[in-house]
Amino acid sequence: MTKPAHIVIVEDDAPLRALLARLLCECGYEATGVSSGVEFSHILAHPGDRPIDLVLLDIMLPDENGLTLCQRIRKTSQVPIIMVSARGQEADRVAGLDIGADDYIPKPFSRPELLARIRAALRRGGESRISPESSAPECYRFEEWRFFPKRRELFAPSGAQVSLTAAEHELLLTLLRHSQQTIGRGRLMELVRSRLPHSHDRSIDVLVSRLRKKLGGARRSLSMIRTVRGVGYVFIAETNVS
Amino acid sequence: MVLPAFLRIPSGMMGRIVMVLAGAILLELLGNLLLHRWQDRELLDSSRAQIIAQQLLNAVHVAEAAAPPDRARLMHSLNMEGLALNWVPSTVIVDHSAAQEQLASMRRWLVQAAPELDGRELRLSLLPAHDGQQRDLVGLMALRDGSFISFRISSYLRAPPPLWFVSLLHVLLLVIVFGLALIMIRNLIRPLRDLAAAADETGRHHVYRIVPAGPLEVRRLARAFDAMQTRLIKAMDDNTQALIVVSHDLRTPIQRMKLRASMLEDTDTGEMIAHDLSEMEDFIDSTLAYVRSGKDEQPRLIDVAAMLITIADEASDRGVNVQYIGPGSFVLHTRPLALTRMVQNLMENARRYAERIEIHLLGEESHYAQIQVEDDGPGIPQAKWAEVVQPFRKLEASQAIRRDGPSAKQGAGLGLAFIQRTLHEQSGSLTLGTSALGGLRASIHIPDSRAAEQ
Repeated sequence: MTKPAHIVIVEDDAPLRALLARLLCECGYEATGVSSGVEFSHILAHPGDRPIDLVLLDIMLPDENGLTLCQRIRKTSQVPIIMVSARGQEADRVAGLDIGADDYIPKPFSRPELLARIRAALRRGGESRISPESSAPECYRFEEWRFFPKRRELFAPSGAQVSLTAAEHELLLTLLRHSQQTIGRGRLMELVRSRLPHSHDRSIDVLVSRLRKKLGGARRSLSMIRTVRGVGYVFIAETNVS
Repeated sequence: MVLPAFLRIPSGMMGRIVMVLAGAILLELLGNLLLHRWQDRELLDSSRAQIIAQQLLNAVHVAEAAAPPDRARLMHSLNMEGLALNWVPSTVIVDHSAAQEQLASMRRWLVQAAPELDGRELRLSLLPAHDGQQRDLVGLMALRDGSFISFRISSYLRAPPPLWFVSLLHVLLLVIVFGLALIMIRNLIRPLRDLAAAADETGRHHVYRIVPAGPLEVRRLARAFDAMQTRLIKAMDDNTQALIVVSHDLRTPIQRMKLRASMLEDTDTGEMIAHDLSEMEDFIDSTLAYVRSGKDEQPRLIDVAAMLITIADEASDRGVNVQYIGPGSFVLHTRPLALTRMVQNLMENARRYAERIEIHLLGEESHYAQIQVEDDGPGIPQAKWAEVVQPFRKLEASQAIRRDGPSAKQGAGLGLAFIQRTLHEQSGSLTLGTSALGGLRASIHIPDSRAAEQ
């Protein structure tokens, strides 16, 4: 049996911190709450027998900005970080993802929302420990398109930003990661399930057709995402990673 | 250099108006004088006057040396171009040089050219020339024995211009003086116009620097206005800031309640509390969006079609019957978050009252986009269109039949007002109409922000 994942909550509001810790414990995680950057640094330096598996980091902290703290963690550790901040601060989101946070969740969030993000981050964290090269690179380029997975931004050849739903983002990232490889529909389904509201058999096909439309109409992008009949899909456009 | 007080340009509005008035009157006067002079122009120049004076002097000597019977004949022999001479024993002609300025100056010229003529009686008068237009100078010079030499200088004054021409010149003069005065008064009140423009801009939440200029009163007004603008903007900013801080701070307690509700054993109550909380969140979001009206975001190049498709797809994943109709790609330079919020707001409104929603995208890439959200709901009566875009205004339940009952989520009544305000910031517009589907058509016109700046 594996040990429960250890999650550190950095949050200056004491009741909320306690609530989060209780909630995570109820869901089978091990949770430690700290109220400031200094306290967190202490835990980071002396993990003891409980290595940190995930950090839930509030941007507004009394002593240190969550963004600088995040930057500091990234210098020494690849532990998954989920930033928490008041909703609507788009700049915070981009800045947080830019300096290495894995995900961003706006306050106030709901319990299932939080748990889904934590599960996804832990899974990605586990993957990246097995194969470090599969952690998302800065930018993918294909046929003059640019995709920045961390900022979740896709730019068309015209330079215009093309918005994607969360599921489309996940699908595009998966396809790009396994560019030139055929991915089975079942596998794709599994990978993007957390982003799909109610998945059924056809939902992956609907998702692919939506993404094709976004990638410049069906005709051009048919050549980018090819259907492998009875198996799945393959991203065949030449892809550069930087 | 410090000028004495009376030479300085008056600093007050009154003083400047007086200055303009006085200047205009003076100019008119001067113009009149010049016109008058020009009407009676002399056709004689000073060298010709010199020759005539010499000839007159000559004639005086000849006449006085000769016996009276010979004098007339001798005088005729001295005639020259433009000057006819005669001798008369007596005369009825009187001197007009006191009344006619040109005659007085002619007298001075003659005396100056031939000083010996000074002291002799000299009678000068004007007579029409033979053409009836120009005028001749007729003069008499007394000899020592009391007889006179008479002389006539032909074409002395030019013909007076016709009346209509003189009138025209006077009108022209008036127009010029009036025009100059107008320009000066325009300059005088320009600072007032600038001030009015600044006042207009203040209403649009722009800071518009007012430079105090112009007359004293206007400068004082400008300074007072500037201070008022500063206070007003500060008060607005303070209120905005307070609202933002309160909205932000509310999120932590809402967060706590949300998590507490999710831990309740009574899941029904928990869900109801969660529903209420998400309604509170919506209030906060719409208030913040209204207050910021998109100003917290930089415009960028985006694919509006992809954005609308994303919004429609996300909504239809949540079970809303919504369809996007428009091009697959549409590039526009604009604020993506503000636009997303606007369209989501319209969709949310439509969803409350209607079954089916369509989003149409029209326009011209890189120039403007026209986004129409149409629904098959009851619509809004035309008389209410102006009212519903006011902030904090909600339609009463009696005016629109709600699809999902009174317990459904209701915004703070800021949705359309937020759109109106955000579009106003970006030179766009919101229009309401009747949809082909039978319900409301809300139409957003938004220009490319690079085009709007120019």
